Amino acid sequence: MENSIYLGLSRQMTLRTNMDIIAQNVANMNTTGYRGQNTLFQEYLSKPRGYDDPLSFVNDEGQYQITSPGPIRQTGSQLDVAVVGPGFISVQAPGGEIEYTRDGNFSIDASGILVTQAGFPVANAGGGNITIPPETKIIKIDDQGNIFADDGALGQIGLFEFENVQQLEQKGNNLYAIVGGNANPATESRVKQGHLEGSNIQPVVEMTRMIDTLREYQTVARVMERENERLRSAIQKLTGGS
Amino acid sequence: MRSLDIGATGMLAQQLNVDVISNNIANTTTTGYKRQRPAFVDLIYQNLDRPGSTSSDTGTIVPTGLQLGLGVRAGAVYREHAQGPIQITENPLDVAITGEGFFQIELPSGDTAYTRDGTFQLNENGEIVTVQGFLLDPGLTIPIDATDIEINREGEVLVQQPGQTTLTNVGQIQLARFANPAGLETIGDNLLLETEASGAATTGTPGQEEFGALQQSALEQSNVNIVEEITMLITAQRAYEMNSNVISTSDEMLQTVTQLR
Repeated sequence: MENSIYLGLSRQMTLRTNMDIIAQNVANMNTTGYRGQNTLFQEYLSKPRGYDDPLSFVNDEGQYQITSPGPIRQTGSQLDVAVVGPGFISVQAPGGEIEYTRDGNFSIDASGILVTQAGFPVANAGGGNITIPPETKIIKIDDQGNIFADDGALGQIGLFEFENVQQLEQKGNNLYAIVGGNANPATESRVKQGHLEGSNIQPVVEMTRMIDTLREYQTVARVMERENERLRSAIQKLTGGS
Repeated sequence: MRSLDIGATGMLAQQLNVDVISNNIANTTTTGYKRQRPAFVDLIYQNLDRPGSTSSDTGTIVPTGLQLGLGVRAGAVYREHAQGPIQITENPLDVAITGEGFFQIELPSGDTAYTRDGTFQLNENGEIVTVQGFLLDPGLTIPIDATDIEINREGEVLVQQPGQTTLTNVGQIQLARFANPAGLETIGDNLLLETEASGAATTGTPGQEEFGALQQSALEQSNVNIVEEITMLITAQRAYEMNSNVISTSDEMLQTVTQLR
């Protein structure tokens, strides 16, 4: 009997998830290398007893990463790199495993190791560290990620591509972990020194999605309200109340 | 609702962004000031549906999963140690560093601080001191009867004394360098302190190897670029507004709930 209310409820719950994801995107509008998320909804059919037509609920099935490139901003810092193409840079996470990032805002730590702003070492293709000798003045990074100092090559930033980039799991700190498939050495990506990739969020799109979500939420609420009134009047009429 | 809190983390982050930008703008004419930049990172994710989890008995795999992020935070505020423009002054004790390195300053506590600000003066004993009166390290004393002071690129301090035809060498200015200058700790008064992140200081002669050369009667200005700061300020303000929009939208959704029935 209350199915129509439950249908509305299923939509409202998914709209909240949607709103949370929009809020996350807007909050990370200025996060270097951030990639926006979008929700996927799917129909969930249920055939309650006594009904011929199935009821169609909605379910938040998953989300996908927006893979369009973010705006590339020139910073002039020789330790900043932007990834052009679908690739990710490999980073040694605290647990020792390799994770991936699009945020190429690097610095050098006290022992001369190339690290992210969170202090995690940048990994080369084999997973090892890259050490920049303290006397180095000028660092050049070519489009393959090879780092050159005054007196020769220092190593190569690990650049990887994925068969299915949607299978990456977000870990926070601008890092992604691999959960399925393999990381393959990049063939279509290159890095650009002295630049950073901004967040690929389009504020206008997020704002319109937000308005959409709000209005739909209100509409569903109104449907539920009407249904509630209908039930009340039905009960009153049947029981002969005033 | 998570989106209320997420919007709040976004507003906090943008507020910090504006704080950093305003400090940069306030220090546009501070000698030897190096601009600061915040670096933002996303917060941890809540896994409602892990990517790669199975969705049926036959082992079909969820291709994307459902992970809700919880907002943003500032990961670091770092300094960009790019060279600032050099301005010529009339004071013979103004010294600019062109290239890498810091002057070493002895604090009243006996610790050593580092600075790019070469606005030096003499104290009552003829010692070279900073504007705050802290001694330059290694210490240098200029004789009272000196009529002229010369500081060359390599940091040698020479004085002209009456009745002498040649200049007298009274000492040598030394510079310090760090593996990671961005890791130095700021203590105000244009002074920086060594930390574990910066690594230990290596000292050396100006103009040699990787140390920058000195230039007398010149000062290094702040490396803040006003146009860049204003552009970043506009971006930060708009981002702040949009995050506040997220909060008011979430609020309206909650209001709809309370008005149900």
